[in-house]
Amino acid sequence: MIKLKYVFVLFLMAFGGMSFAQTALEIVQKADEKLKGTSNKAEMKMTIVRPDWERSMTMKTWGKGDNLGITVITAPARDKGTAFLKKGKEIWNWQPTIERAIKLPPSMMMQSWMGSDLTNDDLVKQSSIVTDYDHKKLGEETIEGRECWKIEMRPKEDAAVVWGKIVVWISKKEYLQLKTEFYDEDDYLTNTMLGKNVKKLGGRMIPTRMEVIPEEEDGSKTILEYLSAEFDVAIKDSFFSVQNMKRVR
Amino acid sequence: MSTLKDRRIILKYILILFICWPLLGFSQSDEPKSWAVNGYVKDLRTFYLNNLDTISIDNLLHHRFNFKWFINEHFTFKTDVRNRIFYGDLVERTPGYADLIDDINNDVLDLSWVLLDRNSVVIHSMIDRLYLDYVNNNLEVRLGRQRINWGINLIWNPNDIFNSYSFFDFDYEERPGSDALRVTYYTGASSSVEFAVKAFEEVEDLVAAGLWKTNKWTYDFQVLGGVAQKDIVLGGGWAGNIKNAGFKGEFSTFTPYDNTDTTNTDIVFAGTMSIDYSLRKGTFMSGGMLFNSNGANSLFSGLPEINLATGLQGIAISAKNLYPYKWTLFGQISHPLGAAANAGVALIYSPGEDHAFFINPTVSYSIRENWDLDLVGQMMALKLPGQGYQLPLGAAFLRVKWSY
Repeated sequence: MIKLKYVFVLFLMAFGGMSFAQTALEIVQKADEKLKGTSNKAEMKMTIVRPDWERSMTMKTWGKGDNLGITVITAPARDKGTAFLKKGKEIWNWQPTIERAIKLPPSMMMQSWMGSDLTNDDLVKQSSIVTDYDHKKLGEETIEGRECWKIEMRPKEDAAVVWGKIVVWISKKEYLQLKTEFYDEDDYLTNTMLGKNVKKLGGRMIPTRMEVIPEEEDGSKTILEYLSAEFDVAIKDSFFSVQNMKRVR
Repeated sequence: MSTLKDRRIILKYILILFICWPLLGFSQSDEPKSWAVNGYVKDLRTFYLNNLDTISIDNLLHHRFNFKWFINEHFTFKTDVRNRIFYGDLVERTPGYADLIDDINNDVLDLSWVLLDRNSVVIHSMIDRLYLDYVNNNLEVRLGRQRINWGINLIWNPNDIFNSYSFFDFDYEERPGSDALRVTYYTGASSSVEFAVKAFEEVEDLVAAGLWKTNKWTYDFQVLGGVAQKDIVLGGGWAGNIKNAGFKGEFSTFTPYDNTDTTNTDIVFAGTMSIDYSLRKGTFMSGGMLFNSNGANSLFSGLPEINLATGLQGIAISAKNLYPYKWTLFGQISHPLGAAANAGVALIYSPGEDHAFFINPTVSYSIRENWDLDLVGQMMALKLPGQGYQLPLGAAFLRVKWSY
């Protein structure tokens, strides 16, 4: 009997363990899926805050899986119609004034997006937090009253990735990415991103406001807000083409 | 200086031009409408320094108005108008200034008008886009005045055979349009087959060509062939990357097809390559070269006579003659100054006998949303026999732009 009890306990432990001991990769995968769905469509507003001035712009984005994406700027007037197409690891940029699609080199991904604290890579999501990094659980912490896993992500050797290291806090209950720290190649903290205003949008609980705060620059930040979002919408793969990048509005 | 009467006329014109907007009722509504209006107003102040001797100051007030009508899911109509008011020293000093500016940038159809021509003021209006677009799935047909931009390289574009424009005219980023018919069939996400033909009056003005674009090994490739004026043109280009740096190039050969034409006998080859790289802090660097078999080693035996009325911007180029020298090197670097400004310098050097330099510093500043300020310099330096380096022309431009 004792033996059987022992086996039972072992069995329970094993089973329970399966449901609780998710790997760091699985957690990041779920958090990533939460914001992407199988496909998504969103409208966003970005505000760049500097000690002496402020700028804002709005854009529309479409995404499907890890490999397909289109972003088009809808305001301000100066940049309206400027669009980005992502297909696999390739990026094209449509410049309506000169009527030309320009293929962007990988080094362009490290550049600031329109003068903000986000990089081009953050916007077009050329790299994937799931497939381009190795993940490791660092522990558990509470952020804004929510219990979170703290996970370290280091880029895989051959990944074309902008950061040297990323540390992310993901809530246990809703898989919300509540805090993310971005480190450069020398392991210096460069940016901190906070996920705020958690609410239901497009049928999902998500942080609807992201604040990216650069280290060592007082009074500077970039705010990214969701104006609308839809998930798991039907978008054909052929939507993501140079032809359509010129036409979306 | 303009007279009081001239000023009144300018003012009247500005009112007509600018008051119309509210009537169009453009709004910031998020829902796509069946039409779209945008454009800008910019004021360009030019300071020309000729042979370090005379200076002239000119002004150009410019309103560009773009209109697009999405008729239904298949048809789109587009027209863009540039309205420009020129006034200043050169306008006053140059006889026939109006005709001079009216001549450039027009194609077969005459879609430009001199609205006012006084000795110190010229008002000019021009339609540089006017076309109907038909889209049905992967097929796109465009008829009318349009920009056919086949370039794929960064700086010089030997494949851009439908347009000729001035390399130095930085103030005309949209570039002139061609009166043409273009049929494009998209065969994939970044691949297509395209055919375009430009309207012509004389057979020797005919430009008709096909372009095939494809994507392989994370590179975009293109091949083109056709007739460009008096030549058979064959060319190609690529855009990809070496490690993290952009690597692009383009080439064309122009072969005369009429053996009896003694004015056009040489086969011309134009080839160019460029590399660009961006650093994380925003520094952008690029470098490249151009070979033009038709180019010269030495252009000037004395100080060049540059038409001051149009300055460097009057030097029109074509895909066949992108830059007057045989070999040319290009280097550019730019870096953000704080969050709202960017400074850069571009250098073009032709290592022929003239050792010609073209130096182009720029500073741009975003005053506020939709308000931009640019400071641009253009300087030309040449080594002349027995005279050492000379500066035949220097120009500084101050531009304020408001986009709507």
